[in-house]
Parts: sequence; C-alpha cells; structure tokens
Amino acid sequence: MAHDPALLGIFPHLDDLLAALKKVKKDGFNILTVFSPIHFSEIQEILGHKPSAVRYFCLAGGILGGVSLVGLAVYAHLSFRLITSGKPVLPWIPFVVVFFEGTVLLSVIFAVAAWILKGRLPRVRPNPAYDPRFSEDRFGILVGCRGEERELVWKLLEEAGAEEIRDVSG
Amino acid sequence: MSPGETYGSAQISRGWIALFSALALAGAGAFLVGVGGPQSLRAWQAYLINYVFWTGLSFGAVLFVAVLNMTDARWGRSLKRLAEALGAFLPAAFLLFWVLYFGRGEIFPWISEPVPEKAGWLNVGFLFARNGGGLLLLTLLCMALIFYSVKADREFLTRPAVSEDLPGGKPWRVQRVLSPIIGILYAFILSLLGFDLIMSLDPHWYSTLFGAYYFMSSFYAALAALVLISHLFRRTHGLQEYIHPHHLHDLGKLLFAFCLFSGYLFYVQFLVIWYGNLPEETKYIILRIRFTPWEPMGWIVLGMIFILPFLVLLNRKWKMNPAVMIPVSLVVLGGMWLERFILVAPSLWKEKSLPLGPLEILITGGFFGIMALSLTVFLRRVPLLPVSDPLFREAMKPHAEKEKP
Repeated sequence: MAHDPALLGIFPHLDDLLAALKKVKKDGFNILTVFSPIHFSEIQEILGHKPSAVRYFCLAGGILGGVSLVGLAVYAHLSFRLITSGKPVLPWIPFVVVFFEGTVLLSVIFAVAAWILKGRLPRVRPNPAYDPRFSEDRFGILVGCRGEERELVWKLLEEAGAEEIRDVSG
Repeated sequence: MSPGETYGSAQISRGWIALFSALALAGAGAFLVGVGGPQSLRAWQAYLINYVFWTGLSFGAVLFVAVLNMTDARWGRSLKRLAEALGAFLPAAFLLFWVLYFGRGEIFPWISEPVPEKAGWLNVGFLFARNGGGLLLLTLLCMALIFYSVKADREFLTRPAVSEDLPGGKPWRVQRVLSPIIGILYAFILSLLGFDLIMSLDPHWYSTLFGAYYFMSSFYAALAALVLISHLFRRTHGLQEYIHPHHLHDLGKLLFAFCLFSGYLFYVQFLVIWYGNLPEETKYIILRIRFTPWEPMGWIVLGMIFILPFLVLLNRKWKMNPAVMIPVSLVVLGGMWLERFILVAPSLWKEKSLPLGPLEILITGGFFGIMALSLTVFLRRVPLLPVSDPLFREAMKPHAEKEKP
C-alpha cells in the first residue's frame, strides 16, 4: 500500500494515543491509519469511521444458524414422530439448546469469513508502516505530512507521548 | 494525585436520613401489625422474601470488592467504596436473621409436617446454628474487609506523608488475605442460605444447583444496585473525574454477563427437571408457571431479569447512558425481588389470591429503608473514594508518573 511521505508515532499507552489522535484530527492533519493490538471503539469514534460491516455478517449468520438448525430439528421430529415420556413432538424447551448452538456456530463462521474478506486477508505485502509490536503491546498513528508539516507533526506526536517517531514513505 | 483533593465523604442531607428512618419504622410497624393479625403468614413470608433478597444483594456487593482485590483489578477501583456501602447493611442483616426464629412455625412447613428421612438436616436447632454461624463468620470477614479499607483511607487523609511512604501497608495486606477467603465462603454460606431458607420451604423438592443459583443471582442483583448508585452518585457528587463512561461501560458489561449467567443457571435446572419429568421435581415448576395466581408472575420475572436487560445491554452506548441504565437497573432489582417472591411464596401460600398488597409493600419499604439508611450513614462518614488503595492510586496516576522507578 503506497502512500505519500508520512510520520509514524508509536505509543505505549492507549490514553496517550487517543489524546494524540484528537489533537492530530483537530489540527487538520491527514491520519492515514491507526495500529492497535486489539479493537477499541474509542479510536473508531475519534476517526469518525462507521462500525465495521463484519457485525452484520455475524448477525445474519447467527439468525441463519439458529433458524436452520431448529428447522432441521423440526423436520427430523416431524419425520420420526417418536413420542417419549408423553413429551410433545416439537418440544421448545430443548430446542433452545439447538437454537443456541446453531446461532453460535454460524455467527462465528460468518464473522471469521467476513473478517477475512473485508480485511482482504491474507495480505502478501504488509503496510510499510507496520511494526510487529502493533500485534503485541504498542499503538501507532501514521500521519501524512508534506514539507513544513513534517516538523509540526513530529512535535505534536512527541508532545503527545510517542516513545518513537519515524519517517515512513510509500 | 495528592490527598486533600475532592476526597470527602458523601453530602447526603438529613432529610434523606429521616425519610429512610421513617420507611424502616413504617416497615417494622407493618410487620408487627401483620404478625399479630389474622394473616401472619403473609407478614412472615414477606419478611423472608426481603431477607433473602437484601442479604444476598449486600453480600454480593462485598464479593465485588473481594473480586477486585483478588484480581488486582484497576478498572473498577473508583467503584470500590460504593460497593462497600452496600455491604454496610450486613450487621443489620445478621440481627434480622434471628427474627426468623420467632416465625419458624409459620415459615418452615417441615416443623409441623416433619420429613423423617431429612430430620437430621431439617431441624430447628441445627438450621439456626449452621446458618447463624455461617452468617456471623461471613459478616465478620466482610466487615473486617470494609474496616481495613476505610481505616487505610482515613489514615491516608490524616497522615498523608506517612502513608505515602507505605504504599498499601498492613490494611492493604489484610484486604488481600481476606478477599479470597470471602470469595470461597460466599459460595458456601449463600448456598446454605438458599438451601435452608428457600429450598427447604418445599421440603420434598430439591435441586443441587439451587445454592449456586442463589449466590450467583444475588451477585447479579448486587451489580444492578451498584450500577444504580454509581450513576446516581456520579451525578450528585461530582465523581465524573473518577467514574468515567468507560467504567460504566465495563460495569454494564459485567451486568450483562451475569444476566446471561443467571439465566443460564435457571435454564440448566429447568431443562433437567423438564427432561427427567419426575413428579416430585416437576411440581415445583408447574406450580409456578401453570397455576393461578403465580403463572403471570413467572413470565413477568423472566422478562424483567433476563429478556429486557439482555436486549438493552447489547447496546454499547446505552450501557453508559444513565437515562437507560438507571431504569434498567431498577427493573432488574424489581425483577430479582419478584423472583425471590415466586421462589418463596408459592411454597407457603395456599390461597387463590396473590399475596402482594400494602403489607408486603410496607415490609419491603422497611427493608429498603434499613439498607438505604446503612448506606447513607456509612457514606457520610467515610471518603467516597478509596484514596489509599494502591491500585486506585495507580489507576489515577498519569502515565509518566507510573513509569517512574
């Protein structure tokens, strides 16, 4: 993923990252991307991005899984009407378990599939700004900057608590 | 962070204390009139319902503090004192337990109709000895936990220089030792209360999970109460700097988790009873979901403690919104009270009418008055925040200061 010259700020603390993001955004600089080991809704809110569509895939998978597995159980029960201990042919009480299991199964499968597709994984060439520490315990902000902006962004990231700042170019 | 900032005790007017005292007195009066009247059973069963509800809630709140200590949790440290305040009811709960002794003949059916094969367990002397002993032990441990927590804060505020040199110190070490003991005893003693004060009302019925269901649902009720008072005190006492929206979000997630877990514990008992279809087991459930006057109550309880909170607490923003969380926590608390009602009353009340009227409301108001009175008197005397707690101080420090050697 090629991009214009940019500065990468690496942060050890989430609070500092959030404060830096707010400042960078307020000052009108171009935030190219943010790296984080895990999902934080606060980052999304500051960037103004809409929540990922993965959750809708997950919801669809859950509904489909629950309904289809109960449908299968209903079909099986109606095909073999074995009345046991006076219980109804279609007992809703144990069907809760079937519904739950089906919901979990397909929602997980759909979520993982959507995550791979939406994330365009596997990524053969990673983002040049990516640092393995972003998968451990560090956060990063990649801010696009040209000419005299570079000094301003560097100072801003430094004051915000970045432990390391470096140039990244496409 | 330095001592002397906004770490005062709660500013609660005397008007509230007068109101809570009046409620407590009205409840006591109604109970005495009820016990002396023609429907003394209603008064006793209302007393028992409230006893198991409020005592479980209070122990659950102290368990929250113990769990924070055991897990070295920083996230909920600013909620610690509010949870301890809910535990201030416990000495009263211990005394209120002994009132049940005077109503034993009306409350426990196995006294008038003994069950010979269970007589070794279900006899008055042993029941009051084991429950009284268990309550005494757990109450003393909980009080010690709260005492050392408050003591450390008072010392910190009066002698900050000395306390700064001793991060944690003896009170903190004592809290660390007491917390896991309380966690383990909570499970044992609240199981005992669930078995003896609720399950034994129908002495031929049993469910081995009932004790776990009682202590876990009590923790759920405690979390709902903590959500309620956190939102209230955050607004009225300017705690926004210490109780952030993300604290409320985390607390909301915990409430959601225990909504699911309580529902799960109910369902695993229900499913096994339904599947086994043994008359001595199913009659307990059938009475509560098929027979008048209990049937609608069973569905109302399911909606209030599971369906509604489940749907509302899925939403992230709502978990941080007091306009949503205050009503939801009140619904959960109301639902949990009704759940205790439907566990206790059908075992004792054999009439066709629902035993829910002014007498029950007044007795419930009396218990609420005692709980609110304990909470307000406690919070008027102690700092609202656990100022000396090393993990609270750690959580409140700026990052740069945290990394100093």
